Amino acid sequence: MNAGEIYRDVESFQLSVKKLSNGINSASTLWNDKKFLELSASVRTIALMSKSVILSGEHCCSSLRRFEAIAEERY
Amino acid sequence: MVTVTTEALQAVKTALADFRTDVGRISWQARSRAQDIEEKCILTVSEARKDVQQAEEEIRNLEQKIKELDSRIHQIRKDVETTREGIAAKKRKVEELDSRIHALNRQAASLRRALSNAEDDKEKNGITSDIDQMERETRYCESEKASLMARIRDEENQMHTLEQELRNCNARREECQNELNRQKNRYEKLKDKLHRLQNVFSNLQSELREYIDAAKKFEITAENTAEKDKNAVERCIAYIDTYMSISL
Repeated sequence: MNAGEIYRDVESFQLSVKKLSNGINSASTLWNDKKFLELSASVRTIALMSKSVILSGEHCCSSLRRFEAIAEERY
Repeated sequence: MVTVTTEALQAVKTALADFRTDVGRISWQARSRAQDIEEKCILTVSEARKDVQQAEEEIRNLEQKIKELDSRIHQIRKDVETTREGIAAKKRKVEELDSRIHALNRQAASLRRALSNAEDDKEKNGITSDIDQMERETRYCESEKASLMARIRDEENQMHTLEQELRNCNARREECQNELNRQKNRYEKLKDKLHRLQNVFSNLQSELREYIDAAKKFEITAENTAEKDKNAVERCIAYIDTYMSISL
C-alpha cells in the first residue's frame, strides 16, 4: 500500500489532459476560425471534467497518507 | 471564413488520438488501484485488530498471574504468622522449663544440704530418692528444652525461608503490576489506533468509490468527445486533401 501509487496515477492523468490542451493550443496559430473555437470549447469541457477525477484522486491520496501514518504507529 | 492548415489539423488529430490512448484505461486503472489499496488496508486493519486481541490476552494473563501471586502472598503471610506464634509459644514454654529447672536445681541443692545433715538411713534413702526424682525431672526438662530449642531453630529457618519467598512474591507482583499498567496503556493506544484506522478506511472506501465513478464518467465522456472531434478533424483533413488534389 502506497499513497504514492495513486498520486502518480492522478499526476499522469493530469499530464494527459495537459498534453491534449497543449496539443490543441499549439494548433491555434495555424487554425483560427469558428471550428477551432468549437474544438477548444470541447477540450475545455474535458479539462473541467478532469477536475473531479483529480480532486477525488487527491482525496484518496490524503486519506491513504493518513491511514499509512496511523498504521506506522508502534506501541 | 475558414483559416486552417493540414499541419494544424494533423497536430490536433495526433493530440486527440494520444489523449484517447492515455485515458482509455483510466477507469480500469482506478478500479484496479482501488482494489489493491482496499485489500492492503483490510490486511492492515486486521493486523491492528490482532494486536489489540494480543494485548487483551496479555492483560488477562498478567491479571491471572497477579491473582495467583496475591493468593500465594496471602498464604505465606498466614504461614509466617502461624510460625511466629508457634515460635513465641515454644519460647514461652522454654522459659517455663528454665524456671522449672531452676526451681528443681534449687530444691535439689536444698535436699543435698538436708542429706548431709540426715541422721538415719531411712531419712537418707528418702532424701536420695527425692534427689534422684528431681534429677530425672531436671534431665527430662532439659531434654524437652533442647528439643524445643531445636524446633524453634527449625521454625525460625522456615520463617526466614517464608519471608524470603514473600519478598520474592512481592517483587514479582510489583513487576507484574507495572507490566500490567504498561500493557493496559498500550492496549488503549492500540484500540485507539484500530478505531482511527477503521474510520479513515471507511472514508477512504467512499473516496475510492467516488474516484472510480469520476474516472468512469470522465472516460466515457472524454472518449466520446475525443472520438467525435478526431473524426471531425479527419473529415476536415480529407476535404483539404480532396481540395488540394483538384487541378484547376
